[in-house]
Amino acid sequence: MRQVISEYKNHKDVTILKKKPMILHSPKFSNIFLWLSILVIIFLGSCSIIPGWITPYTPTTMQADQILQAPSFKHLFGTDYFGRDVFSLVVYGSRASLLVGICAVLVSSLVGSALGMIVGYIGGFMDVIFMRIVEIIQTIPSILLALALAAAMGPSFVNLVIAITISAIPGYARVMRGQILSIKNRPFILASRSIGTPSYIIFLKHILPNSYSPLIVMATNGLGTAILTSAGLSFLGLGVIRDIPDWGLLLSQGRNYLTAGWWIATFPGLAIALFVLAVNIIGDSLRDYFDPKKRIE
Amino acid sequence: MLKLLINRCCTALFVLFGSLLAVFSINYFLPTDVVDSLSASNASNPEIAENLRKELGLNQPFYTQFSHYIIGILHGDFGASAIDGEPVIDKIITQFPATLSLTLTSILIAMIVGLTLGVLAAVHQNTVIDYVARVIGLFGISMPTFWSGILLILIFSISLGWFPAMGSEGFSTLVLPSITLGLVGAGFIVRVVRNSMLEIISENFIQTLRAKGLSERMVIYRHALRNALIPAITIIGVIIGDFLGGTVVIETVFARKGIGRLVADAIIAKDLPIVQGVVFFTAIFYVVINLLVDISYSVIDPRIRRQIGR
Amino acid sequence: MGKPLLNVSELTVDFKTKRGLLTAISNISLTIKPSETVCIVGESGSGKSVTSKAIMRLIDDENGVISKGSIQLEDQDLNLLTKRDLNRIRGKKIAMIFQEPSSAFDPVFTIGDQIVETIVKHLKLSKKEAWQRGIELLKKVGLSEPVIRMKQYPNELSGGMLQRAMIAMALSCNPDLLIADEPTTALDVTIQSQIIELLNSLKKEFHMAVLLITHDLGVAAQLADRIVVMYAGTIVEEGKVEKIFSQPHHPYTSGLLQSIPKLDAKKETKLFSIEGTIPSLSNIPSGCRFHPRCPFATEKCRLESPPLKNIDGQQSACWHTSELINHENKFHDELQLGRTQETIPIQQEVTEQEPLFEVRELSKYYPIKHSHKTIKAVDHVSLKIYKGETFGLVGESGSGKSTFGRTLLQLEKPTDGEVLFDGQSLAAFNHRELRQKRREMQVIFQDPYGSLDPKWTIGSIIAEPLKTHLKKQSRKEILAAVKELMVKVGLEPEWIDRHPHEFSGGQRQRIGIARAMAANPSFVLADEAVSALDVSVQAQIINLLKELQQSSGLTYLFIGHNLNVVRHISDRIGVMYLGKIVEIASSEELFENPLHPYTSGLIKSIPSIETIGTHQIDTLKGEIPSPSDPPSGCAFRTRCPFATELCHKEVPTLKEYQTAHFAACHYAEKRKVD
Repeated sequence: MRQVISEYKNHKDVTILKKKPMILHSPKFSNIFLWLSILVIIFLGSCSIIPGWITPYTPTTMQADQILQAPSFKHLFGTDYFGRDVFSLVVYGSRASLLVGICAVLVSSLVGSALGMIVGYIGGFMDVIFMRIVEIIQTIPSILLALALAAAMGPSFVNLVIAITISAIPGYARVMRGQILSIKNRPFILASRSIGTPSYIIFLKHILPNSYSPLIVMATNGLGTAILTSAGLSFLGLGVIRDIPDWGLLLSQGRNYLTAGWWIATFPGLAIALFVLAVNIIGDSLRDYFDPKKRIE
Repeated sequence: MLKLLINRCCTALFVLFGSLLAVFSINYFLPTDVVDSLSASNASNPEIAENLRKELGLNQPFYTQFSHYIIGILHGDFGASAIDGEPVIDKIITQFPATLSLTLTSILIAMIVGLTLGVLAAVHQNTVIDYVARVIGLFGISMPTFWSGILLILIFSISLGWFPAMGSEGFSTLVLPSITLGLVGAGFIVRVVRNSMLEIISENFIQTLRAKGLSERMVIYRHALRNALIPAITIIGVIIGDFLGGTVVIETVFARKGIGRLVADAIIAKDLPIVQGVVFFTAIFYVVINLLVDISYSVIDPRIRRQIGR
Repeated sequence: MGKPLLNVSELTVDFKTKRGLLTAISNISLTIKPSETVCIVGESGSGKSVTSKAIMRLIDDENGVISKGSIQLEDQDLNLLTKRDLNRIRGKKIAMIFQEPSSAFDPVFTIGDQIVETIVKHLKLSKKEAWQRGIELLKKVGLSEPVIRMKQYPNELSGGMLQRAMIAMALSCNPDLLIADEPTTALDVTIQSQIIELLNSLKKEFHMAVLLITHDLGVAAQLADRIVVMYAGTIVEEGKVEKIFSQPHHPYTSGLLQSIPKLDAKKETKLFSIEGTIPSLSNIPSGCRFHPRCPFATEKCRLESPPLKNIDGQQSACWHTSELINHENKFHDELQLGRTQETIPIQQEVTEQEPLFEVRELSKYYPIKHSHKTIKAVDHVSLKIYKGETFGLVGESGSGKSTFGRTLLQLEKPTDGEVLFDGQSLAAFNHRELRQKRREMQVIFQDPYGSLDPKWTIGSIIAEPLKTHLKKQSRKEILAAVKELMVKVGLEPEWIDRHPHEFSGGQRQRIGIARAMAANPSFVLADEAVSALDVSVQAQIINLLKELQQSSGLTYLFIGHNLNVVRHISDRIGVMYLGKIVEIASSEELFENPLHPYTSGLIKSIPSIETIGTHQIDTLKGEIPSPSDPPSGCAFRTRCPFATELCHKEVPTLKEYQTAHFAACHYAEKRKVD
C-alpha cells in the first residue's frame, strides 16, 4: 500500500485523509505488549512512590528464623541471607534505582538536546568543534566513562547522576543536531524566512515543534539505558550506599548466594529487566507513532 | 584509497589525542589523586604525602604533567600502578588477550544471530518469525548483562553443569560470557538490520529487480542484503565499543581475567593510573576498529569509494 | 491484425490496508496487439500505474490482490502463474521501465552487472557474452562510451543516461511487450524528447508492443497508436489517438485537453479548467465517478455508473456521449463559450520606464568541498523586471533558475552583483530592514507538501506574514483577514483550523498562495508553483494567479520548466542556461522568433498535442553539462548544431538584436535574418 500511496504523493493531488491513529487503538499483537509495558511501568512506578502499600514487610526487618527461604506465598520472592523479604527489598529498592535513572535522563536529554539544537541551528565553526568533542567523548565506552567519573568523584547520588549524564549527553546532542539540520533545510523553513519571520520565531515555532519527537523516543529508550548503567555501577560497588540497597546492589549481593538461593539475585534482576523492557517497548511504539511513513499505512 | 586512509588516520590520531586529554583532565581536575589512594594503604602522614606528590611531579602545572604523560605513552609507558608499582602497560598486556577473545567471540555470535534474525524478520514481516526476532531483539537490548549472565550461570553451570561458571582458562569458560555479551549485540543488530532491510525492500530499485524476473532469493540476498549491510556495519563499530565497556561487568560476573576486571578492581582500590591507562587503551582500540569499519564501508558501498577516489 | 498480444479483461485490484480493502482499479479491460503502442493517460489517483503493475503482478509485493478478471498474455493467464513461472515471463516477454531512473537501479552494483544479470537469467548466455551484449545494447540506446558506462555505478550517471541504460536493460531479452511507467516524467523536456525519439525508433526495430503510462497528453500524442483514458480507477474513454484528440467522447478527456495551455491561445483568456479535485480512493463518488466535476452531469450520472460504449470504434463511459456527439456543435460551443466568456481583462500596458527589480551582474557561486572549483549556479545575470508584468524564467534543471530566484530575494547571499528593489539596493539593508522589506516580496514554492509547516493549522500559516509585519492587529482582525484571504483563493473559511495534511496538493498550493498574498506584497516569486500539480488542477491555479495579479496589481517572477505554461502566464520570458541568461524577449516574440539555438531547441522539445505522431527529430542533443565544469566560450556550444571556433573561444554577451529582444549568441544576427 505504501507504494500506491507514495504514487499519489508523487503526483500530489489526491486528498489522503491521514488521521493520526490513536497510539493504543487497534487490538494488535504488539499492542498487547504495549499495554503490558504500561502496566509494568505503572506498577514499578508506584512501588517507588508508595512501597509501604504494596509490601507486607519492611525491607530492613531481619528475621533470623527465616533466612534463605525459597519463594512461597508468604515470601513471594523468598528471603535472603539475613532473613529479609526479597519482594520487599525489590519494591523498596525501586526508588533508588528509578530516581537515578530518571534524574540522569532528564538532565542529559535536556542539556544534550539543547546543545545539539544550538550548534545545529547556528552551525559553522562552533558546530565543527562541538562535533569533534562529541566524537572524542564517544571513543570511551559510556559505561567506562561513567565508571571512571563515578570512581573519581566518589559515590553519592549527585555524582552518580552526573557520571551517567555526562556519558549520555553526546548521544542526545548528536541526534538533536541531526534533526535540526534536516528540519533547517525543509522547504517550510525557507518559506518562513521568505516571509520575513524573525529567526528566533522560526526556531521556537517551526523548528522546535517539528523536532521534539525523536527526543521523546530517545529519552524513553535512554531511561532504560540510564537504569542499566546505574544498576551496573551499583553492581560494581560504585552505587550510593543507603539503608535500603538498590536493585544493582541487591543483585551483586545475591550473586554470592547463587547456589544457596537463586531467588536473591534473580528477582532484582528481573525487576530491572522488566522495567527496561517495558520502557523500550514504549519507546518503540512512540517511534512508530511519530514515523510519518508508518502512520500512512 | 590511499588518500582516504591518510585522511582517516589523521582524524583518528586527533580524536585519540582528544580522548587522552579528556581522560587526563578527569583525573587532574578531580579532588583525589594517586597519593590519596596510596595513603589509604600507607601511613597517612601529610608530609610524606606532600613529598610523594613532589616526587611524582603532581605539583607541576597541567601542561607539564600532560606532556610528560604523552611522552611516556609514546614510549609505551602508561605509568605505574599506585598500589603495587607495576607498569600499567604490563598489566594491560597480560590481561588484554582474555578480553580480546571474549569480545571477538561475542561479536561473532552477535553478527551471526543478529544478521540472520534481522533479515528473516524483514523478509517475513508481520509473521511469527518477525515477532520472535523482534522479541529477541528487545530482550537483547533490555536485559542487564549482570543479570542474564547470572541466569546463564544458574541454568547452565549450577543446574545443568554444562559449562564452568567462572575462570578464564580454555574455550569452555568462554561460552557463557560470550553468549551473554553476544545477545546484547544481537539485539542491536537485529533491530538495525530489520529496519534497514525493510527500508531497502520498499525502495524503487527492488521493483526493477522483480520486474526483471529475478527470483525473490536473488532480490533479497544478492541485492537487498548488500544494501542493508551498510548501516549494520556502522552499528558493529559502536557495539564493539559497548562490548569493551561491557567486559567490565561480564568479567566481574564470570570472574574472568581481562582488562575489564582490571579496571573494576582498580576502581575499588582507587588505582587511578590503571583506570586512566585502561580507558585510554580502550579508546585506542575503539578508534582502530572504527577506522576499519570506515574502510570496509567503502568496500561495500561504491558510492563512497568513488567519492573518495576522486 | 489477428490475436492480441495482451488481453486484460475486467481487471479489479484491491489493496489490503489497515482499514480494510481499498479498490484501486475496477473493471479494467484493454488489449494490446503485437507491435502496437497503447497509452494509458490519467492524473494521479487514476489507477494507471496500478494497472501496469498488476499486469506484471508487481502488486503482489505491495499487499495488492487481483480480485477479479484475467490478464492473458498470448495463451497464458498471468494471474494463475506460480511465482517461478512468472519470473520466466518478467524481463523476458514483458519488460518494464520506471519513472525515477535515479532510484531504479541498485546503487551498489554497476550498470553492467545489472544488465548482465538479466541476460544471464533469461537467455542463458555466459557472463562474457552477456557483457558483450550489454555493451551493444548501450550503444543501441545512444549512450556514448558504452564500455566505460558498463563499469560505472548508477550514481555516476545522469538521469537521462540512466533512463537510456534502463531501456537497454529492458530490451536485453527482446521482450514482446515493454511497459513504460511515466518514463520521461522525472526528466527535463529536452531529455524527454530524446527518450521519446529513442522509444519511437526502438519499438520499430524490436517489433515490440509498448504500454505507455503517462499523465502528459503531449507525450501520449507523440508515441501512442491508441489511448486509454483513466479516471479514479476506471477507464472512461478509449480509442485511436487521432480520434481522441480531435473528437473526445467523454467530458473528462475533453476537459483535460482544454486544460493544457495552447500555443495559439490568447493570453488574456482564462485557461479552461475542470472544477473540483480528483477523488481519493477511499471516497469514490457514486454513479459516474466524474459527475461531481462534470458540467453535463444529470441525475442519472449521480445514480448509475455508465458502461463503456462503442461509438465509431471509440469507446467511452458516459451517459451523454451520443447526445454530445449529436449536438457536437452545442458541446463545443458551450465549451468555447465558457472559454471566451471568462476572460481576464487585458492588462494595462506595462510601463517600461518603471522597473521594480533591477538586477546587475548578479552571481551566486557555491564552493565544492575538497576542491578549488566552484559551481557557478548564477553567473553575472543582469535583467529588469517591470512593475505589473509577469517575467517568466525557463531552463532545464541545473540551469540555475531557482537559485536566481532565491538570490534575487536575498534568501541566499549573492556572491557578487547588485539587486535594486524599487530603486534601493537590497544589499544595503541590514538584517532587520531586509526582514521588513520581505513584506513586499513574497514567494510561492514548488512543493505544496513541504512548504507548509505540518504542525500548524492553515489559519496560523496564512496569518504568519500578518503577525510578522502588521504587529498591531488584534486577533479578531487577523482572523477576519485570514478568512477573507481564504475566500479569495478559493478555500472554505471553515477549514481554518485544519492541518495541511488534510488537503490535496491543489488546495495546499492555494494555502501557499493565500500566505504569499497576506501581507499585500507588490512582488511574488512563483518558483515552479504549478509543476507538482495535475493538469486539471494546474489550470485552476494559473487562473487564480492571473486573477490575483489583476486585482492587486502584482508583479510576478514565474519560474518554470513547462514552456507552454510559462508562455501562457508571462509577458516577457528569460531563458537560462548554465547560470547565464541566453535570451530575453516578450513571450510571443520568443516563441515566434527565437534567436538563440537553445531557445529554439527547447521550444521544439515540447511534446505537443497538436502534432500527433510527428515527433520533432531535430531536438537538442546531449545533456546540460555540470555547472562545476562549464565549457569554455559559449556554454551552450557543446550542444549547439551551429557551434564554430568562435563559440569555443569567446563568451557571447547578451545584446539587443530587436526592440526588447536580447540574446547571447554570436550568430543571433544571422539567425534573425534567416
